[in-house]
Amino acid sequence: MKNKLSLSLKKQVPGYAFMLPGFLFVALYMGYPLFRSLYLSFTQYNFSFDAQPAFIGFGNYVKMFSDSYFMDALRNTFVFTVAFLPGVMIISLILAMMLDKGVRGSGFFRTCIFLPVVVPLSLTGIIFQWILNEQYGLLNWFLANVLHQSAWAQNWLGDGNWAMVSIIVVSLWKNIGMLVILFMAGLQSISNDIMEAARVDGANAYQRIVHITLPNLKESYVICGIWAIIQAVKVFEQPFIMTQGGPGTATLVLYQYTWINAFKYFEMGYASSIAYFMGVVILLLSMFNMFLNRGDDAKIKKVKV
Amino acid sequence: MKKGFKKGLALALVLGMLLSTTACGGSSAPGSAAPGGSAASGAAGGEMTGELRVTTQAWMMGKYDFEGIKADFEKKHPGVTVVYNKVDNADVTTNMLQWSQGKTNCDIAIGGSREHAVQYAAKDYIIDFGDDFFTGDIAKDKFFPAFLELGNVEGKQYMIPITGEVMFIVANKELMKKAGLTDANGKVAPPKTWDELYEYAKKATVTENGKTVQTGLSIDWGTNFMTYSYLSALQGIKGNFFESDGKTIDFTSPESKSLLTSWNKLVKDGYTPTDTFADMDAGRTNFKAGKVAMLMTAASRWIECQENVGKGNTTVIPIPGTDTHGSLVYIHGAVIPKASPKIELAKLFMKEELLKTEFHVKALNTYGKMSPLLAHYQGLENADWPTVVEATKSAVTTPLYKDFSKLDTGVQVELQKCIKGDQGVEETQGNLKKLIGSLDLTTGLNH
Repeated sequence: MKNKLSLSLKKQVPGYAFMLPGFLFVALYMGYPLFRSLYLSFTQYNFSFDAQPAFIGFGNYVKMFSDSYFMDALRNTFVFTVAFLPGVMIISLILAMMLDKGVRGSGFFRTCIFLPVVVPLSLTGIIFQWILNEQYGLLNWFLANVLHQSAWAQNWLGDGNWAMVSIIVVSLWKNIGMLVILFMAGLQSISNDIMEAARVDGANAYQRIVHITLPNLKESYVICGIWAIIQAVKVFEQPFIMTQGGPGTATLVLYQYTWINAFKYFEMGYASSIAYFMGVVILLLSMFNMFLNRGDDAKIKKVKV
Repeated sequence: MKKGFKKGLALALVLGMLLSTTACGGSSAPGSAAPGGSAASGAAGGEMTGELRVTTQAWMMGKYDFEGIKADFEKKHPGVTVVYNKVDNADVTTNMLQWSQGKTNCDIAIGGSREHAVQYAAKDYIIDFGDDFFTGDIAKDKFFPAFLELGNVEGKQYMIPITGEVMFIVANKELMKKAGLTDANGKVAPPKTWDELYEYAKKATVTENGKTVQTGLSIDWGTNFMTYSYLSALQGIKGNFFESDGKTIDFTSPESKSLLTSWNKLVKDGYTPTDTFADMDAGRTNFKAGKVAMLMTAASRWIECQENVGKGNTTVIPIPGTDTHGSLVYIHGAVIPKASPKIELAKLFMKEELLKTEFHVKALNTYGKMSPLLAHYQGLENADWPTVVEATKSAVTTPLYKDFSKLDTGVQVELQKCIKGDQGVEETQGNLKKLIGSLDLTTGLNH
């Protein structure tokens, strides 16, 4: 018995040894920063001027809600999320379903839709700054000189409301390609036999989409939903490059405000608390998404049979 | 055999991982000093030979002849190799992290201003150049006082100014002439007040079918310039930008109110765009495209933009009142980390190369980037240089506050809201007064 046990342990040693580098990597580069920043979130610590972090309990978490810029950033992130999340999910799903049908030139369209994903966001931001310039931008020129609709021309980035709309549109353009690919993978996993059976039973296209396609994409909703939630709550580059958070605080978002506190003010304690707040928001939204899409597997299996 | 191989491989992997994580701590400079060590800590043997590592901002490499001074220095000092490390901006975080561990990847860090220097100085990471550095052609009285001041923290010179800027209005002569704003000699008379400047902007704005096709006056209101623009304009109107205590920036005086009202009016009436809110380079880009008649920004643009709008087609106009009260300046300076093993060699490089005439003349003539030394302005090509030099001689600097970056963000946010008309002038003044009242206005230097 004893010999057997020691033999089993001996067999396990190489396995643990192989795991150790990965474990060390995660512990050092993810675990330590995670716990360190959690600790910092309960301290007042200016990286530039303070020798040591000073413990202040929940001070930073309380301060947040009386900080008008934080509240502006929270509101803007909420607005962005509410517009972006359903937008990116619905548009991506529609495009994926269209491409899945194998329309003529679908390879070309697939490439066009995915292309923005591989373009660096920093370049995208600068190009859109030029396109959306109020006085000399391409969009306003196009509206005025090609469509002859001068009244449609706007101060796309200089007006608070339009600046947020611009950021949402650019974010959709940038992110849709990724979700289209994920949804297409989900669509391709739906068995043709079920579709064929539905057709034989006289189901029309609408019924097939509502009763077969959409229910069978629940796993894709979870994956795409979580991905989109993360993209929405941690939106940063688009406002950072396109509007710098302005005008005023009209497009300031939580991630950018975290960055400002951490790397402009060097207030690592306060920045950590905002980062943790964002982490909790992402976690809650992801759980909500999973709850909404909790599988009634029995039902799906029944259909699949 | 097979088991032994597996175990050996696993062990090798573990060792490799451990070694790599240890190495990730960064390479320590040979002979690196402990943080807080004295300036003499690097004066060990061999300090005057070997590699001298200089960190510069990438844009500087294109505008200054860094390769030329490298060759000259290496020729004068056999055994020395100058190596440049380009960074995007003043990389304070990286410097702080390295220097806090007594390590450094540079012996000279160029870029940034006093706000950065004070952060290093507060933790005793950089050397004080002292009076010994300033001898001969680089004696203190040979510098523009304001440029030198921007490297000084509570009487100690922690940073040497390498290049500077002064706030001005740059103008496109041809567009100003078309607007009837030049005299018989083609010169633009400086506007004495913001009301006069408003009239200039009005005349220089061109609209077609209700659409602006030429901007009268663009003002750098972006993230990097809003505070500079506000302070320089208030300096011109009032003669200083402080409250009566001489320390707190004034946001509540009638002069401040009149300035904000003028800015508000310029935007409301369509003579000044707000595109610089989002794109800090919008004013400069559109000026280069010949679409902007006047641009309130750093003076250097008047030379830099000639390449696009035509040689001799640009000029400078003092921001109202700054011709008598002085304008506002900022710098990009150089610091030497105490962790450097080559402090004396670094000082020598700065004296012999970074502050020499040849290094600065090309940047002065081609890009308008200002040298900190008065002697470098003899016989320059552009006829507007004396105007710029005079305004710089009497220029002032931004105050050194520990929380300056917080103020900078707050000023940008509140003034953008005000200029857009999203909040009233008085509400803006009240918000800014409240903000500055909540900030730490000491230098932040530990005593």
